[in-house]
Amino acid sequence: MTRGAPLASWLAALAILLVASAADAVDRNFAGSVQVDYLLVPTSGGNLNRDTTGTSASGATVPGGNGWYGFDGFTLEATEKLAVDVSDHLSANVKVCFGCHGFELDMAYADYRVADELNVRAGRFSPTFGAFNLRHDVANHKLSDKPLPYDMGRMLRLRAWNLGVLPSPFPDNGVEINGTHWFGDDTQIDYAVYAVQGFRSGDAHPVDLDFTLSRTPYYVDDNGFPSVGARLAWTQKLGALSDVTIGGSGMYGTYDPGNSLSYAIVGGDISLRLALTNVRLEYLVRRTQIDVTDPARFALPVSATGDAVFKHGAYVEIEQPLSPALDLMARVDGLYRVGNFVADPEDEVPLRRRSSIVRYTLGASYAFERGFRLKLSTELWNFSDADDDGHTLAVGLHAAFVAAY
Amino acid sequence: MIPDGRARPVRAWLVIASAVAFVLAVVGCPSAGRDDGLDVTKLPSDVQGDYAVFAQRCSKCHSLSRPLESGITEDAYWVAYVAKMRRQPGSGISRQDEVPILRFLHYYSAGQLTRDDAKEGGR
Repeated sequence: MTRGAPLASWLAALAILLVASAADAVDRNFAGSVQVDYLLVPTSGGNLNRDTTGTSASGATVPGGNGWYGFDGFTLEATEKLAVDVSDHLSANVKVCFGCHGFELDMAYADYRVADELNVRAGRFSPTFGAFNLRHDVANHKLSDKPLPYDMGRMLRLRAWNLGVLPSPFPDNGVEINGTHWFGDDTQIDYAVYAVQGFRSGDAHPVDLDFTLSRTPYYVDDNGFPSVGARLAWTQKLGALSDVTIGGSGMYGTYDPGNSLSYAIVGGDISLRLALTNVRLEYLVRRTQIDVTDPARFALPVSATGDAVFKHGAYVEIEQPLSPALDLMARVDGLYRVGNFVADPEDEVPLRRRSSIVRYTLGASYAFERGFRLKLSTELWNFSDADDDGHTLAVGLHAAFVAAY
Repeated sequence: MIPDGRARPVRAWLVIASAVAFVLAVVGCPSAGRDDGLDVTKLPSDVQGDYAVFAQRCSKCHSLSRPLESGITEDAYWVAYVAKMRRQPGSGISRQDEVPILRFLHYYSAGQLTRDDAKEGGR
């Protein structure tokens, strides 16, 4: 990120504050959260920065200095959000995040609500996709990290896999029309349609979305073709304290400057609430066209793999309060990738034409004080492909403190 | 971290054992810590039903500490804010749910005002 980006973020926040003050806003709501997480990976199984060097316990120089498995150690995620209701119909939100890659502007948009069924959103926001993104703030999910389909840098082997299917959040510039309607008192339908800049790639011969470039100034599209998408969800009350939500989402766009390589993401989700128990399932798949004009770059014959890569991701999780202060979580999530990849002369990239990751997570979230929690979790990773040490299993341990205010 | 791929079993098992011990301790002492929400047994019986609806609906997307620690005490603000939450996608908050939720928030806010007044008076 350039040095101008944090300044731009804070200027946007200041602008919203000034506008809110000038408009003598009806209501302002300020909220924030901060999480510091420690990730310990006591086993092998990752291969992040293989081009760097480090020193082994025996003193030998070995490949992989820091982050051999992933970003283990401490990471911080902090957010500050201001919501302003200027009138009954007009509201504005600005949210600034600080994470592994510095300050980011997660939200800066205005909502003009004509009716419950028709709201026009314009500015910078995460377009409505899937169920998880609404809870992406660290204060709103009770495990330290996100499900693998939405992972944004906490997964092992993140370089080889280029993160999840749709790293969350995914703020973008554009316009969205959304709304909700209740049929009686038991059935709720939500919809959203949007057009945003879309993801980008600066590679002369792109082989995947460049998530880093996509959130880096200049915040302008690399082609004139917006990405479009939609979501439709149905919520049904099952009883006084139970409900289920079933949703489907899709997104389509091009990501290269030549406007010729497309990506398409579709997903389905089910969220079940039985009193205070949450059961969530979600599945995403992304088809990404790749530039195969230079077949020599690839590890596999282009004739056999075609010009597209499919990345599937899914998770199922259960969240169960055990006591007034303690919640337990269990999650199984995974990724499945089908397609070609850029050849590595040292043959150290732990991928094949078909590769997969399955992760099993058990965790607890304990409230010391209202709004202040300790999150503990342990993960078992199972990779389909061995790393250059021959390992396919890894263990991750998370300990995090999170405060919401 | 050992970059040459060797495991650190002692350190790993220490951490795992600590985590398990922590969870068992908390499970064994349910009175320890503090709920993100309220202890329902300490609420008046006529409020418990309203709180149940509030707790179930409002914890779907965020923790209950958000509204409970917001410091909001004005009914008019709660009316606007609960309506805003009702319009969130998949909120599960119907217009009928707004009534018990607002009734609980009124009860809670009134208690908060009383507590604030008591604090002011004690200074």
